[in-house]
Amino acid sequence: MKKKPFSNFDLLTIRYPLTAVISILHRLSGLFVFLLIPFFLWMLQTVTHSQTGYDHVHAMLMKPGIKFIVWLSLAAFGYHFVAGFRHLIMDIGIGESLAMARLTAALTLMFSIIWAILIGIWLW
Amino acid sequence: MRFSIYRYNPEVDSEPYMKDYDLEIPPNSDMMVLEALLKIKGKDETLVFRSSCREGVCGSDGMNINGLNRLACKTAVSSLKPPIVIRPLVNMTVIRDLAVDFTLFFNQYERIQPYLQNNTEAPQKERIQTPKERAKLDGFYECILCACCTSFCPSSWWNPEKFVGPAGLLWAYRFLADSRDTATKKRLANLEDPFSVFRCRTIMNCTVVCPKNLSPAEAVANIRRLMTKEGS
Repeated sequence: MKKKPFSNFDLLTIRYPLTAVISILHRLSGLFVFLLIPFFLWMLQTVTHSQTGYDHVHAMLMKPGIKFIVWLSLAAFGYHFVAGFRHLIMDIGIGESLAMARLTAALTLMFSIIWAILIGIWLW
Repeated sequence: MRFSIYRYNPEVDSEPYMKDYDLEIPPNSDMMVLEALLKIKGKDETLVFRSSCREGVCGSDGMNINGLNRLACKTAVSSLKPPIVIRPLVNMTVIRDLAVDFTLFFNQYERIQPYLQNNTEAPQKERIQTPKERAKLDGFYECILCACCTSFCPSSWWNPEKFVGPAGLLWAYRFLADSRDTATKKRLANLEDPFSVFRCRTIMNCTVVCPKNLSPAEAVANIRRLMTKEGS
């Protein structure tokens, strides 16, 4: 009897280096922002359509739940932007060594957290 | 100290399981994980793992220790937080316990044609390199093909057949960088498709785990730059 081959592939047993965490978050934030595009397009269309539309969206954005989603998407966008910028810099040959990649990964996290806090202050 | 080890014997077990072993290890011991495994094998001779040189040269004992791929012979037990969890290299078919199938890994190595190619007439004695030309190979020729990097690379997990993987690409660059090799154009053309090189997302897991402290990520970046330069 031929058995199905097994391989050690359990994502919960693997340790993720900082550079890997940065990369995973890069994808997740990109996906999140991408999925919200229809919502933002709808918002843009509604506020530019009429005064009532503007008032409607304005009232909606004041709701704490919606406000939180807006904050989350702006924070994710900021993160995705900085992480993407990091890759562009690497592509011109800067920060390709492990030490530099770790440093820029930490900086990416730091900038994104500061950005998220600033956005939060601005929104609330 | 407790060791939790991945066990699977396809002839007996229906699926893999983790088995605990306790080992007396004196404090301040400089024991490596490989030695601990050998001691455990002394108690349970059914445990299977590969090893040969026991000094980080042969590349036989790559395994996943506490979540990171490393060589058992170069990993000090004292550097690890107990319990020490030992699993086979990630995403490679398990033959038995910690021994995995390297077929695909070596196919990828073969694919990049890991040998010098020169179509000019061979000189009487040898093809000479200046020390400067030779230095270009540093950091790219020392790979021992242990598969720690490729088995830890997410791009290789998702595209194990189409993406060459960090080890193969490190070797590809080693020959691209060799002043005696004249097959640069052909080598680059072989890697031009969207998968072979370009699946690398600079996650850098390869460079983090390389037991020889090499940087496959830098090799990949160099290959991309060469492609741009050669206008291919």
